[in-house]
Amino acid sequence: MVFEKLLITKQKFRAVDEKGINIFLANLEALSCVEQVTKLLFDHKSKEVYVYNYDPSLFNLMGSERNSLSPEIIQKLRTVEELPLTNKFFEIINKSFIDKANEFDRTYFFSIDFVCNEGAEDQFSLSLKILPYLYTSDKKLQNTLCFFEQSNHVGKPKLRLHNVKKQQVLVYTTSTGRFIDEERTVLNQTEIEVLRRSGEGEKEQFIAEALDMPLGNLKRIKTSIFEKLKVRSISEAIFVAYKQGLF
Amino acid sequence: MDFEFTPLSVFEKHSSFDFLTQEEWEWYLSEFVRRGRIYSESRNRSFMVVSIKNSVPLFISRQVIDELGYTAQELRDDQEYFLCNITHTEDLIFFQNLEEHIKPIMQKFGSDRRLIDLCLQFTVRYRCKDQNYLQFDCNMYPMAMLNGRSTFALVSMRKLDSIKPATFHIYFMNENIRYIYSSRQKKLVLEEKVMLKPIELEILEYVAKGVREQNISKKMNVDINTIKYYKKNIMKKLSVHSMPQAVYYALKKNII
Repeated sequence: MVFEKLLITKQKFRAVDEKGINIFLANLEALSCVEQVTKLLFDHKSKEVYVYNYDPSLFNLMGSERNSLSPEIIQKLRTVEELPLTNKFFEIINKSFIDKANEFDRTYFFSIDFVCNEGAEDQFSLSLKILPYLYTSDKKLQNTLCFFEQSNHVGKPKLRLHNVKKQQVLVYTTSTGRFIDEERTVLNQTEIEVLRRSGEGEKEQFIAEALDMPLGNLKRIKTSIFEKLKVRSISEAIFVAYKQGLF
Repeated sequence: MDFEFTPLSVFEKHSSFDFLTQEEWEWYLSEFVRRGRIYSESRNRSFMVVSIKNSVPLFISRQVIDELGYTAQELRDDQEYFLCNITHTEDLIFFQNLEEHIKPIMQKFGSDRRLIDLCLQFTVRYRCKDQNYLQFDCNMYPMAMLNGRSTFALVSMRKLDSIKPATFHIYFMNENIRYIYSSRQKKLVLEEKVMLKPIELEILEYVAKGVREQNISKKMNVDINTIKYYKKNIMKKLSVHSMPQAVYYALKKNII
């Protein structure tokens, strides 16, 4: 799962081995070809990664050609992994894929949103979706599927757990080390209003009067905004919320 | 609501899977449905998992069912014939007649190696609960392989705005060959034969601008009879009967 532990070797269109064509791999490739998506398939047995790169929007962004990932891109991904936070995310994912006992309740997947080249000119955001894809008949995880997509994420990396059966999205909070319901991390109407008014340059006192609440309440709301968006200042909060399309 | 079927009531073990025990077969089925489910959810698209042999749905994603307005129970009660029952009657006949056309093509290319880069692309009309029709654009891939034999297919679906008779393509990705069903010739033809050549496009553009045959032949420096011949070909390829119809069709399809 974690990039450095596996070698990216297979980049050829139509993986052919001695026995002929591996139908399982070719079908995945067919899916990415028609749907124009980019995905990596991790094989935990042979420690190899198969790359299917068909998303045209990623070609320009990452400077790669159709169906290949250049060494620099792999380097970029490695730097992502070296970020302390994403490294921890991968550990969590690995743990839940391999260690958990209940084999049949695997109707969930993870997603990680992060910013590449932060601060640089060619900054862009990616979203990784990681699925426990194929189990062998002795019920061991053999293949993990990982989607690459462009996203509009800003700020710190974010790990989400999507439970398909319960139709639930949970977000990992680093402070408590647990997954909580996403609704609890989404800004509510008052918080958005406070952010918008702050963005328009209104003073705390004035906002509190306009929203008919004591100043203490307003400060509490601001703190909760900081917690939810994982930011440190109101300016950062405005930037992040605006980029995420919250207001 | 959970739209997962209890597949084992309908899906008896295929005779070609005798090497699997009943327990392994059941595990294989549920594992396949699980895979289809998380795949569809992560792609945020509507998906369907069907058995290739008899087109019985094994799993239909929530979005499709919600759009059509049925409940999970209605699906379970009528699992075997559900898809047939909600398909538009015309489309059903269309797909039934297609089988004989598909066979020769599959025989021509048809080895198990071929299945890997095969994608069936079609549009189909499904009847909603309120008797209206919705049209879906579907890509169907043979997905689960056991012993080199395809058993289930994953159908990726997208809702279309228009409601039109069904269309059908066979796409071999490896060679970039696409067969299109031509309603005029009543058979599957290669896409190249349906696509307009550059010279035909040029003529069509002149016609759309209202230039007369004589003037076109002067401008392009070709004989007037050649122009007439190309016009006939354009009408044949677009399966229309007159040039104004061809222009309208080409405009709608963004060809000119």
